[in-house]
Amino acid sequence: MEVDDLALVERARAGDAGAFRSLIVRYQRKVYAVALGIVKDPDLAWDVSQDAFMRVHQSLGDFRGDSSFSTWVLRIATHLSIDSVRRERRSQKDDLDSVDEGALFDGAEGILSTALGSNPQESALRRELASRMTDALSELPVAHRTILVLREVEGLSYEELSERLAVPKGTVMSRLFHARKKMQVLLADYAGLAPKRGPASTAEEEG
Amino acid sequence: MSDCTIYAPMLTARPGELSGDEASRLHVHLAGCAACQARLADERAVDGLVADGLARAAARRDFSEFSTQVMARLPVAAWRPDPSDRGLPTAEPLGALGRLRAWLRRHKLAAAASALAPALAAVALYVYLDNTGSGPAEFAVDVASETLAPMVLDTSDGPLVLLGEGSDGA
Repeated sequence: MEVDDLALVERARAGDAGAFRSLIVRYQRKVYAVALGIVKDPDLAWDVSQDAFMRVHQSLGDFRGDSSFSTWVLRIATHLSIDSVRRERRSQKDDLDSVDEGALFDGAEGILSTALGSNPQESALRRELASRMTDALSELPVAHRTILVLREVEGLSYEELSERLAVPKGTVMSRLFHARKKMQVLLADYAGLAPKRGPASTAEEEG
Repeated sequence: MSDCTIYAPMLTARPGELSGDEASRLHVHLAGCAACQARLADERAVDGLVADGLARAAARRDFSEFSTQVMARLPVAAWRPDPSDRGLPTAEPLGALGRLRAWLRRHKLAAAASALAPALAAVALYVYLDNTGSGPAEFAVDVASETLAPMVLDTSDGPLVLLGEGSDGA
């Protein structure tokens, strides 16, 4: 029977190297996935992921079990990931959050759902789109990549996103809408699903 | 400005994330807006795709060395000794070299001999054993130096023979 996370944390605190290594192995890919989504570069994501476990080790004494170990380590990973792209964030002065008519009506509504069909979770197209996800994310501004990762991988609610990003709930909703819409347009483009072109363009919102 | 600019962002909401008022107004809007119905269908169709895509990217990467690299960056002093060391104070890192060191600590004479061996390899020794036959056996050990030859150390466990390079044995 697999040892649970809290038991491994206790043993690691007591100096059990094998227990800490087990925690690393258990969460290394998920931590890397979070880091990759935010920092884009695979080698940087690798380094940030290792830094995250270093930070976890330093802070083992602070972990009280109020949240799950998974939540705790992913929070550390996203924090370090965001820090590592701070320079990119400062250079991007786009308006990331306003939802105007131009951004909304680009003719792309329904294209993906139609193409993915009645069982979208099982379709081959979905697998193709998933394989292009890192490409799509890398074309988004860092603020959009970040909110998508926090929402989709770390699983944060609107309220948690509002607190983590220090923005109102309305901003969370509009930023998330923007990010998802851009991501969907990019994926549809990769899949050769051409929308009816409208006034909006993802390019005009890039820094 | 159309109502879609207000309600489209609400389409990403999970159960319980909209207030009762927001949820009912969204419901009314969706009933009369084909574009937002299509947007909602898109949201549902790609649900979980970001996580799936990143998980795939992580699955493609070779993590066989990841944990070893992390552990190597952590201070050795952070870990307690292996219980089989019976309380020896030095905490050893994992690995073959660490296990060899632990074995040598438990067998101190062999460790001493190992330490001496490089120096002794440059010096030839020959050993003379003499058993006098009176009472308990006594072994006198004479050691002289020449060039590469075996040597015997008189130990509490009995003679320990160290073979030199190119020797025929004792």
